[in-house]
Amino acid sequence: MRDQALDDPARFVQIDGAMSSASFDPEALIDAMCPLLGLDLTPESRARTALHLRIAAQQAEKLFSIALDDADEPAPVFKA
Amino acid sequence: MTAKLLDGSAQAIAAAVKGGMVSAREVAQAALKRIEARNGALGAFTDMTAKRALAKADAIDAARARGEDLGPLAGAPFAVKNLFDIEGLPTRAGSKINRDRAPPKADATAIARLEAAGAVLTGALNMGEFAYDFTGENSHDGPSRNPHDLERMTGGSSGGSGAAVAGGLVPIALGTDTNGSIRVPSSLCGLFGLKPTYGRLTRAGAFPFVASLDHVGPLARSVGDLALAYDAMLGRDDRDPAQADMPATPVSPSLKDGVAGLRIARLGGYFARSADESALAAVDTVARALKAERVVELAGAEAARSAAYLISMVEGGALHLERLRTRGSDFDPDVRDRLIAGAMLPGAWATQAQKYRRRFRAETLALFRDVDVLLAPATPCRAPKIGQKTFVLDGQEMLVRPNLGLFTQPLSFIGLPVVAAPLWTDGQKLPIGVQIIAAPWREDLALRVAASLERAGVAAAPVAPRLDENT
Repeated sequence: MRDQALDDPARFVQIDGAMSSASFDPEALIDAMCPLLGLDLTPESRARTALHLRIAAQQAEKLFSIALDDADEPAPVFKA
Repeated sequence: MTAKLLDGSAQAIAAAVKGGMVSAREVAQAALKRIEARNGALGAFTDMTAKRALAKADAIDAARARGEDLGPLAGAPFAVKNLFDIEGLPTRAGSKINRDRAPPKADATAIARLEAAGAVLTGALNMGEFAYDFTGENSHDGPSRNPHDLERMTGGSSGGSGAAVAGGLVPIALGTDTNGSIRVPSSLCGLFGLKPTYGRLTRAGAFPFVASLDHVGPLARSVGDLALAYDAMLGRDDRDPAQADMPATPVSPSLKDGVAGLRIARLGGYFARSADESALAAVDTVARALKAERVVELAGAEAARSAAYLISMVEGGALHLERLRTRGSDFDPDVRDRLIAGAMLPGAWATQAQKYRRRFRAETLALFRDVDVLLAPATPCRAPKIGQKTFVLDGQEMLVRPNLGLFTQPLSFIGLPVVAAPLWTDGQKLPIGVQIIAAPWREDLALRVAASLERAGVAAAPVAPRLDENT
């Protein structure tokens, strides 16, 4: 069943950071990535995927608001 | 007598079995009968292992007759989230897809260790599909229902674990916690839940979600049971490559040590926003009881939550990509489309998130130089209604499914050990939890604080009012 509450992704997304999620076009990313990943989305799935991409972009803005150094090591370090 | 025992603790059951007041078979039969009677209302169990449970109970009774040591959990029933391997039973992990997999030939290590301590496996429990969930809803098996209000969510993804323990079907259940999936159902169902330090307990034989963040842990109605289950699962296991080489030090003996001398503070900032009055009042109550007047900030918690969010999307998307390609229509749509989005995210975001994980860990460890235990809400509110898609926090409308864990997620991001302790307010039938947070490898401190709160009557985890008086 289609969930009307999810049809307007902007309701759940605040765009106030320096990174450019304001100009982010999830539809374009979906168009580019589906053939690469071998995915074929229904219209309903596409709308929800776009919503989650927008939310992810908002989360990335928050993450990238903190400056990290080149020397900062990622957490998982392989031990030979 | 057995019905009363089933409402009590695993410790009490074990004492009764060891003392010969009741046989393990009688306990197992009563537990299985109660599960059959109540599960229709609760949606807690997806599979029962009745034959196995009775065989194990008989073995315990035979061992007692021979005068052997029965273990600290002798005859105590338990059940596990259905992502744990149970020999001979497909490990569905809340999905339709995994039911086609061949049944495992061995149990998850955690199950084997609980059974070695005398516990009796009664079945597998409902959960959010592939553990990507904070609601306890499942489009294939139906929702697990909150025993304190059947129209309300259990929380997830270990939703069946919450329903089974709060509903009195078992005294102990196993769950997993990637971003809050033990602590959220503990809060909404009114239980004690333990998410140990990342790398502490073996995950071998548990279906993964986000390898960087996955933890195994117990839910129970008493801190003593929580500690006993944790102690039983300690120990090295080469089948989990992320397990740390730490000594297996039991925590049960230290539960009585109290909180004297512990430096306890509550978390402000991020952890004091986006919560309703009940969540903040619960932390107030605990802080007052512990005389914790200090408030400290965990700077960067919001970014930490974002980083955990992105790592979960990316690793989850990668884990399930082939299934998304070939079995997309067999997923729960709410789960599928988050995973698809995760598979499309830039690798740079995931790497930045992992870099920030190390930075945030260092900053948080510095905070623990001046404090031993931190307090924070477990969930932003009491249990939402089943089917509820959004709620309003801090004036902003948000999706329920990803945001019930907004206070748990920054803490599991850096693997801190956390006990969720349940609080009740007069006139309210729904509980809400408080997180008791310690430095890495100090589960003992978080459990000592929880035990003190339990002894003082501040936190409690009763079985929900009778669902069926005859069971």
